[in-house]
Amino acid sequence: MATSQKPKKTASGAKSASGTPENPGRRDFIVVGTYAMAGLGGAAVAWPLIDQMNPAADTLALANIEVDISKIAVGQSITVKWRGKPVFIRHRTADEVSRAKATDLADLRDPEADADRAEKPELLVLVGVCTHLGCVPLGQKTGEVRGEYDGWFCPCHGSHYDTSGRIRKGPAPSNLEVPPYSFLSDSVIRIG
Amino acid sequence: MSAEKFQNPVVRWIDHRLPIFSTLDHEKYDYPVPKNLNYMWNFGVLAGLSLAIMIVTGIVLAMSYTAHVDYAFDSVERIMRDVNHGWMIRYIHMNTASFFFIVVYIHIFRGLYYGSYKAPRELLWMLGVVIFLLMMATAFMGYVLPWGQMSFWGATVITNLFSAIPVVGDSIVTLLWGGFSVDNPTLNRFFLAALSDAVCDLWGRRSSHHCLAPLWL
Repeated sequence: MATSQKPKKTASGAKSASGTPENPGRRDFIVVGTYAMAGLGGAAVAWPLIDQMNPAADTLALANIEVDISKIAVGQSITVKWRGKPVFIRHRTADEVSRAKATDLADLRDPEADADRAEKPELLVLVGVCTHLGCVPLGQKTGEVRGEYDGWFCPCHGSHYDTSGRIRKGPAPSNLEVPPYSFLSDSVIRIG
Repeated sequence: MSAEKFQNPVVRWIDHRLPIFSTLDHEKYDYPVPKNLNYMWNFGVLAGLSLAIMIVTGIVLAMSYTAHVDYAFDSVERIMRDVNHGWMIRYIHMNTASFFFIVVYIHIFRGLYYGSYKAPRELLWMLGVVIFLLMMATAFMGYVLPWGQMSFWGATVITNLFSAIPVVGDSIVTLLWGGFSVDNPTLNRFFLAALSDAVCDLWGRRSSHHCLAPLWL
């Protein structure tokens, strides 16, 4: 590393043009290496300070919920809270299922077959947030307005959803979202 | 100032209108420092660095902390267990507070030993004393926030000291407490005061102190 030359006096911190004539690369390498390490160090310090804003362990623990669906009677709907949002779980009647399946996809603003939305046709799981501007549609409780297609009706701007939760009339652009869910058994589903 | 130093046209454009690059250049390269200084002169910089770390970690902690007597302690536990890297950020915050004081004591010792308080640096020294008092106040209020036993009783003892003031002492204590003992109003105002104090007051005074210091070097 030692050269026979006198060490050049450069202004502190100023990058030398290209190192000493005999060893053009070494000083550049050290300088670039230092900046690289400083950059890595800076990133290592910054990352925890930013990552702490990501969902914490207790929030993540509520990211998945298990719901007992065995007690839902035919024709009944329940609402559960999942990730801060209402989730509609409806035990559909045979009539509701057949109407959903019989719908011509060409009539739908957001074409989606009923079979793609419900794994087991009698159980429909939907996120109960209107795709227009986010109100919670009516239709869960007995006696509530269900709209012209007997599914759900959003009172805010008049979106009508059918028995499969698909948008049929009104300003909403897309169908009610189906959250990721799976059957842990015949009586328990896991959402998320 | 010396915008000719910079070749990059964007840098020159900015620096001509707001000499931030010249200032940073001055701080890093041109800073006039006599050669007879020793390592005791490092501690001022370290104090500033400690304050910066306290502010950054403090703001981050404040994102998850709840300043209410029913939730404060649990929110700190949540930071320790659930918040990503929360334990590390909390430990950095509380230990940097200790380091801040250690570093400041050495900095003060340097000032006493080398006569840095003598003319024409009297005001610089006084500004430092103010910063020291603010540090103690801020640290005290910060310690109350986890709402543990030490927090509560420390707050009670120190606020009670003001009752020693004749005539108005008790009224002042009641005013500080916002009630008849250290309770939720006290916690709330201590949280705000500690945070705003550190960020605005302390940082501002530290900047004046720092900018004054090299004038006689």
